[in-house]
Amino acid sequence: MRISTRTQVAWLVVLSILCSHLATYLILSTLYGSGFLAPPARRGINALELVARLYDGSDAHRAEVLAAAQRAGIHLRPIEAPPSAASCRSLHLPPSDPSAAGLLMANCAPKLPGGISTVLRTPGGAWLGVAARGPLGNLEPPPPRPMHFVIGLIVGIAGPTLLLCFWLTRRITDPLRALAAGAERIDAAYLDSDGAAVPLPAGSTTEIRLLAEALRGLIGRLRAFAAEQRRMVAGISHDLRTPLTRMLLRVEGVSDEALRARLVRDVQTMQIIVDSSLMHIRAKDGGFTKQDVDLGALLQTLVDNAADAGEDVTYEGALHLALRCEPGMVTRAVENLIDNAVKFAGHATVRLDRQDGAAIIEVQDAGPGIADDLKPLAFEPYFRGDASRGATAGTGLGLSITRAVVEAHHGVVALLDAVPHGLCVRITLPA
Amino acid sequence: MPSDASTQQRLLVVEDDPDIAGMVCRMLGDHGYRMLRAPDGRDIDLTVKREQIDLVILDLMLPGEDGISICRRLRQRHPIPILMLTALNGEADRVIGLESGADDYLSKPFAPRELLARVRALLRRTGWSADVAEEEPSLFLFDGWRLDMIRMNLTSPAGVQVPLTTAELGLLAAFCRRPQEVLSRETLLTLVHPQRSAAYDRSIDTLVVRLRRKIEDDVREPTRIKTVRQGGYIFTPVVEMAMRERRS
Repeated sequence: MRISTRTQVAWLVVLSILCSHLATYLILSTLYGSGFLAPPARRGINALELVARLYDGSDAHRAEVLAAAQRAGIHLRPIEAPPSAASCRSLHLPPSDPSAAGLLMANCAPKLPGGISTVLRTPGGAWLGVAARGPLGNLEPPPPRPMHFVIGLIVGIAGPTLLLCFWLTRRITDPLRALAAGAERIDAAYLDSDGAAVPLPAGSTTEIRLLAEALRGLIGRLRAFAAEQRRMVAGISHDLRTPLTRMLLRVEGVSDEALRARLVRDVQTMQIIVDSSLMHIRAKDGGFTKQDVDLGALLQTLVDNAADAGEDVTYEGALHLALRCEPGMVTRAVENLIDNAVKFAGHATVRLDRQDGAAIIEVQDAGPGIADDLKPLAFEPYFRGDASRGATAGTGLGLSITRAVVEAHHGVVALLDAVPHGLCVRITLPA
Repeated sequence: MPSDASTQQRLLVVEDDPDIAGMVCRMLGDHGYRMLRAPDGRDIDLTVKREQIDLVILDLMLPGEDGISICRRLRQRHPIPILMLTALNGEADRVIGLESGADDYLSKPFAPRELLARVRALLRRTGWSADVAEEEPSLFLFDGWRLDMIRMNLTSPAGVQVPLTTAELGLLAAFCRRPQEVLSRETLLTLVHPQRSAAYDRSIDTLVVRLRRKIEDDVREPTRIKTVRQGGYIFTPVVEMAMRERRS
């Protein structure tokens, strides 16, 4: 069964409140009997009974008892004549033997002169009236509360309790959710970058802190692993240059002109692969410095170079647009897109625009385009696309380098469909 | 020492990979140069002096003392051209190489013909001396713009780097070297492409149009590169020139 920690904590709070109430009830009922739930008037009656029992005696004694009761906040005064039985409505305190002369208490209606509504008969037969004013003036039990009051009371108590419970559980579980959201962002790009560590959510408890620490440790180890892999690829690429140099020198000794040309071309292809791998790693490592660059001039330079090489590449866009970036890498990123467009469509149109401070570079062709289901894969290293698109050999790193470069600049690259057909690659580089 | 070797130009190859060193020596030896080899930077000062070396081909990555440091040392003591070889292709390494005093730079893997062409070009430059080597201005300042021929870049007055094609860079450098002077298209073509390579066979007019797009405030009314009727072009700004910046 899937149950959220939030629900679990809520149940914990509600059940502990219920359990503690039940325990309190059991303890109190054991100690005081079930009567402890009686209304508070009962305690007043007990006090009156005590006074009544002590009252009998000499006049001086009586005055002393009344005075003592007075000091205790119980205002009594002797009554000459007992009330008629008819006027006595209810007996609060039936004597243990009603026929015998003993303690008796009654409410009187209508009230006796002086506003007295409650009378006592002491065991000695003297009558006392309870002064109308004061806490014991009326010992009538309060009328039963109406139902809506009871419901209101429950809602009034349960509502805030539940709100408190909700707030508390949120406080406990929110950092966990934040941590999960933080962990969600950990992808390959995150591991490649030196991005901020998983943030410690506000209000974290010791356990969540430990979890966050463990997550940070894990990221550190993964980063070290990724960096080691990159170093290895970089090392291999780098070390390949020496044998490649030797090959180029040895090829000089080949007398067959055609064979030599083919061998030289092979070595050059290998060199491009090596350069691409190194560029890819450099973008991922972030080992570059940005500077203010005129993107307009950069793209024109690229387009002019391609046009000079006899390719059908045109530029439409601003002459100047300054942006902070690494020009060599951005050049490579766009160059790869132009190469792809020329390879698959025979031409390319390069555009540049500024939107909300960000630079938008588009490289569009009217070629076959890329099917929607293949688009997400197109950025993967060594993706070859479908047979027709993959027929021409490349390094297999083109779009992958483009994405790595764009992401190293905190930008986004998207593959869009051109109208009526073709591919439009849009790079958005934030200012 | 065979005495007839005195007429041959002597090249010293400082390279730790024996295969590469051997093949470079054989290849250049076949083209009439007298080749000497050293596996690292030790004692090459002595060799350079004793053998009257004309050019040093220096690998950047060497065991022990690295190529940069050797290059600086050689540059301070001997007025001979240095060609740096390296397995790194980064812009930063090129700049470090050139700033440490190398006269040219070739990244591995290189085509043997390319090496031969560079060696010939370096040796053609006559009158090698420490003074001469530094005489060529490599930094030009005009109207707040800065053209750095070592870093091969152009910076606008706002500090924004403005990328140029190789040909545009060459044309701008040609203008900067001879400001306020009417230059004919032929003169410019010779200045931009001394070898008249087919790859650069672009008309000067096209290059000027492209360059204007990058450095003129208003392309329709150019003020820096003006067209001279029947004459060619004139670069109007006052240009301040500076010598190569060397790291010491």
